[in-house]
Amino acid sequence: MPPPASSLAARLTNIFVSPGEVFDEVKAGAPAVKNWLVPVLILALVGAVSAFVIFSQPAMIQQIREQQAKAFDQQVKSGKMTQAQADQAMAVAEKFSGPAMLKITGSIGAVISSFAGVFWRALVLWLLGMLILKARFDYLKALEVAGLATMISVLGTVVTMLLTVIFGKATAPSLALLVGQFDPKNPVHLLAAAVNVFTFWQLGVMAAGLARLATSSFARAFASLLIVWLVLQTALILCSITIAHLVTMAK
Amino acid sequence: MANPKKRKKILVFSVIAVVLVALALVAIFKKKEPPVTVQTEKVARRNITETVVANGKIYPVVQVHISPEVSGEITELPVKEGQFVHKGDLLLKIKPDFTLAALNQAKANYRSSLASQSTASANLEKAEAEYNRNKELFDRKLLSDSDFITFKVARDVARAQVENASNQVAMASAAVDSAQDSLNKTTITSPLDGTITTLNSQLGERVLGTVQNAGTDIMIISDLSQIEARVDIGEMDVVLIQPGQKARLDVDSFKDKKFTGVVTTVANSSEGLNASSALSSSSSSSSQSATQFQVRIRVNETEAFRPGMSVTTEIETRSRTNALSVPIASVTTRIIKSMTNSNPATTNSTAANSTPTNAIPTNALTTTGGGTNITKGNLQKPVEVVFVVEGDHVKTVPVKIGISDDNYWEIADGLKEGDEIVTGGYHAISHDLDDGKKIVIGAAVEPAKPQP
Repeated sequence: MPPPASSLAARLTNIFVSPGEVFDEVKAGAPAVKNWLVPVLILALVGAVSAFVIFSQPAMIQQIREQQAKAFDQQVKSGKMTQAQADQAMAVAEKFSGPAMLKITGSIGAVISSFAGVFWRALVLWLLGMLILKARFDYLKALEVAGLATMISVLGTVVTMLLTVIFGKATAPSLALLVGQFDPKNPVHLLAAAVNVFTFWQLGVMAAGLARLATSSFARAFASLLIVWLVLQTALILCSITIAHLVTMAK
Repeated sequence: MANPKKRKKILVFSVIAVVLVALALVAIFKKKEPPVTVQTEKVARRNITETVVANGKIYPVVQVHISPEVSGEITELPVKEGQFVHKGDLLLKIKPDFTLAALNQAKANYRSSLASQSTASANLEKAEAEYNRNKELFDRKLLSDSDFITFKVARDVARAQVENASNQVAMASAAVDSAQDSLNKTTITSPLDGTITTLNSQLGERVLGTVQNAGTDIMIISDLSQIEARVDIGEMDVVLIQPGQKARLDVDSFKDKKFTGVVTTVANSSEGLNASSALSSSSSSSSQSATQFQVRIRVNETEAFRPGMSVTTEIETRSRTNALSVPIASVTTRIIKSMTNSNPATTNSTAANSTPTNAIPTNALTTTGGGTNITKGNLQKPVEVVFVVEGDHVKTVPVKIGISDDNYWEIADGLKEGDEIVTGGYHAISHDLDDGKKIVIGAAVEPAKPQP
């Protein structure tokens, strides 16, 4: 006997409380676009608002300008640029990284990443189910699980926005809060930044959904998701460190 | 079943709501203004020497252009470029055929004039004898008036002819001297001890020489024992330059060596003044070129200079000993808006101790900069200011600056020794800082490592 279907609003709120029950409904029910589209639209909206709020903060703008000024100062001190050229370049940089431009690009980025992210996570779930858990289920079902789990990201985005406003710098609820001066070239700092409360919460919720869809244990589903996450984070950290070193060498 | 689930839901969302509300409240009531990261330094006393930098060329103090005064073919040229010659040494000879012929002609004319003079003297002797004999006859009434006058006139004419012949002799003599002088000028000797720095002509070449105009520029002889730098100074700086001022010179050819010199002359008129005046009626472009004045600096050292070498000079125009000074980077400009109601909170003790005679009182100031808007009508010209550290804030203090060197400004008024001022970073001083801004003292940008 499948459980009685609840409303979309109930599913969006129950995902925080009892995600297993929500995913039981998803598995039993017919594919429903609203199950993933609505959470993604909410995340896109919240992301756009967050970008607008974050880039309205003078501290953030000043932080960006200081980083730009520091980079140009280094160019001047190394003799690769005159002060006049640096002033000119700074003026151009300020023009293209002004608050309005940052708000626009940040909002657009939030919308794009919301949609791209849910499709990517659904693909990961679908592949894990098929290749690791040896289960057959539709990609659309994986998309519904990933979409509903996106509600955790919505909450995480709001908290990140508030923390950024409070601390005056890009701050997420992660172990990076314990780092005094965040260094983007330090792999430990990058790893600390990746250990985010909401990331693990969302991983757990997605693991619950994957376990339901694949008729597998939660532990196995969570372990497989965690391994994929670790591999991807390691790759990302290595990439960012390499890019940072390349930029330094180019300067 | 429903009640425990509902209670769990309420509990979870209550926790979430409490966390979000708490974070939101903190975010709302948090002070918005972020501190600006700066570097600071104490105002100190230093010796400051102001310099004017100019570029120019190396020239010998004495330099002679050798040009012939007679035309002809060079038949002897026993010198080479770069050769040292003494005063009186033979430099070149010009073929003398033409001038020699002219001399012979002049001598012949001279001899002819001497003969003419002898003839005229004989004629005068004869005319005077006839005049004297006929005068006796005339006195005894034996000769008519008209006949007597004829003899008298003949005598006067003979006298005039003698005088004319004498003048002809003098003229012929002068012509001989002139021809001899021209002949002598076919041999040119060095007028000074020096080095032939330029040799434009070759053996066998025909050169043009005139007395009135410059002829062919055959060579240049320079006295390299005395060298000077001729540099161009802009009209803003030339008023600071005076003869006797010391200068440091960097000659591009001697990269590792510094030279010293003394200003000897400062041009009274700008370079190309006459030319630009002449051109001004036909072209307006001349007025767009920078006005430059030539300044000559005698080089103290004797090095293997060559005329035309490029030189950069630093002329020491003014200096102050033990002057109150701040780093150049710490001085910037801000537009000051006067306030009718002074704000005691912004009173600056430093400025109060040394009230500038021409500065705006610092306890009646607000500043603009870094994008701060100000009301139209209260706008004034930007003034030089420094940012004095007061706790975790800065105070904008107008200063009266004096002279400067490469690193420091002299502060004539506005600060006192020991005041802590903001010296960096560049963007903070030029854009971000403003009166009352919160600051945090942080590390300066590390100088980039030299590239291998």
